[in-house]
Amino acid sequence: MKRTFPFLIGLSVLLVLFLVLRGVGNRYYYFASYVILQYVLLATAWNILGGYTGYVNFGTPAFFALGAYTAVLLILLFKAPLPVLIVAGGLVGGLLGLGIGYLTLRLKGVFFSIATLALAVVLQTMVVNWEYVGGAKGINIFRPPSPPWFSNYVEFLFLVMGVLAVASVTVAWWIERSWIGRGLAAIRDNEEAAECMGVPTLKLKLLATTVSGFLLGVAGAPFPYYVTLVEPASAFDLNYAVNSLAMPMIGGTTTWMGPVVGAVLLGTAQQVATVTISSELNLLIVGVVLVGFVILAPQGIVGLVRKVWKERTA
Amino acid sequence: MSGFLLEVRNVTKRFGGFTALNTVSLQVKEGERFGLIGPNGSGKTTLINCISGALRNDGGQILFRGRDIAALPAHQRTRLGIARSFQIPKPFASMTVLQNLCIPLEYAANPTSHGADVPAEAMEILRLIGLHAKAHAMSVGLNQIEMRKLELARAMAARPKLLISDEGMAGLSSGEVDDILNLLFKLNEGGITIVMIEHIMRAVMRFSERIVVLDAGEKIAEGTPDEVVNNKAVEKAYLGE
Repeated sequence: MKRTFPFLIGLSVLLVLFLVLRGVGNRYYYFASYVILQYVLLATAWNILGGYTGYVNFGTPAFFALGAYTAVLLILLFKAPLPVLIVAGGLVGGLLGLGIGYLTLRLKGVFFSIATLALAVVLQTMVVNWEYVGGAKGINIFRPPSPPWFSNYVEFLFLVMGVLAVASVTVAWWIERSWIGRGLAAIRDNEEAAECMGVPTLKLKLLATTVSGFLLGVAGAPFPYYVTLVEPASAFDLNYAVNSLAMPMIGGTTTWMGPVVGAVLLGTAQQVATVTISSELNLLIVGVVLVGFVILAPQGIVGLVRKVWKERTA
Repeated sequence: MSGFLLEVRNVTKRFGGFTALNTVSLQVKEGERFGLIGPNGSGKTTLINCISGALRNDGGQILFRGRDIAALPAHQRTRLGIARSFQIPKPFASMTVLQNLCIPLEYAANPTSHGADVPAEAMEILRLIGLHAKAHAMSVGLNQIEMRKLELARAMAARPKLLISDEGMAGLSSGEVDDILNLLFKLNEGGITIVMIEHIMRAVMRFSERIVVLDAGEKIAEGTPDEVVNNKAVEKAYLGE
């Protein structure tokens, strides 16, 4: 299959979704769908390190907020346009990813996870004490006028986030099918054996953490324009850590499809629950579903479907 | 040039205050069947880890084909031609048997090309080892002897010049030991130098042309199997005074 093929399919799906939403005409749906697409991006990015390589990163909020605050800074300093914000957010996230990549030299398993969690706390403390970007009380960001063809800016942001999500899934798809993905899987299964079988484990781990960090940073870059009030508590929200881990686990961590399935299902359930029941229920839903999956279908939905399919055909 | 395929010169390895290897030297000739024995905790696996790159030696030199490799990471040593099997099998659990072999074929044997013939080559090795019937089985579902064969096959897939078998027969029945021994003889005839670490004396005595004995991190004897068996120091190390 050609490398651009999944990207084009993803774009077509996105376009159909966009036209449907336009037909419905309710602005709230763009708002809600943006969050779901953002989770597709976050879950996919997380999975490149957590699912493919086997290093569980609890620091998603650190990368996401770093992307968001890089954008805030560039808006304040230069009124930089959105594409610049996205690239810059990605680069800074990628740099942080490279940093945690070197952590993997000494920290494995749960110790690595704890370190990434601490990273989020440290960064949040720094931002809280940095007045220029709003400190603890946050900062107001004014949206630019919406581009032609779009009736409002959120509609435009929805499409931007959609393209980013499709691009990230394409990257994951490509990694999974390439020699890089096979090397990452070997590292996940047994790092020592992988190294002894010729896999340059450090190089591949650095690649995984950098790509994952880049995409997590990218996800945060449009955030200031989406919320318009950026404050540390929401940018460093623990929800990002929990969801970006739970969504691939529920969908299935070994394929690109897993995070997408998990993000769409769980993200939609959360959005529906927020409107119909209460916004506090989100984490409870995630928790219950995650526990259920870990017990009943540890390979996630994709794994479960494959197993059933195999038994049917065998 | 030293003329040896592998030359270990005065290698020392310490873990904190404990000296696991104390100025150990040995030489392995090209095409040789070499045995490394010693009581539990004598430093055999530590030495193997230093040679394969899983550990860095604190002193001394390790030369492979005349080149000092002590500074190279493990994966580069594998690409140069040193492959090992693990004492406790470490299969890639999420992969099939065939896929397990594709990793070293792709990364060690053909690291620049990432060629497309890899599955066919893997199948060929599985046939040689006698594991082709299980090619598409998940590696975690294998039994003990199959797991050992997979370890060997995977090491072979790195296309090594030197194969280090770290207790590749532990826990096998005597018929299965013969199975693995015959395999190793076959690989050796194919031109691969083999270093065997083994507790099963019957196997290592039959297999090796030359043996080095370690005890408490030091080399205490070296020679043909007969010489080693009749060596007083070896007897003392194994049986006491």
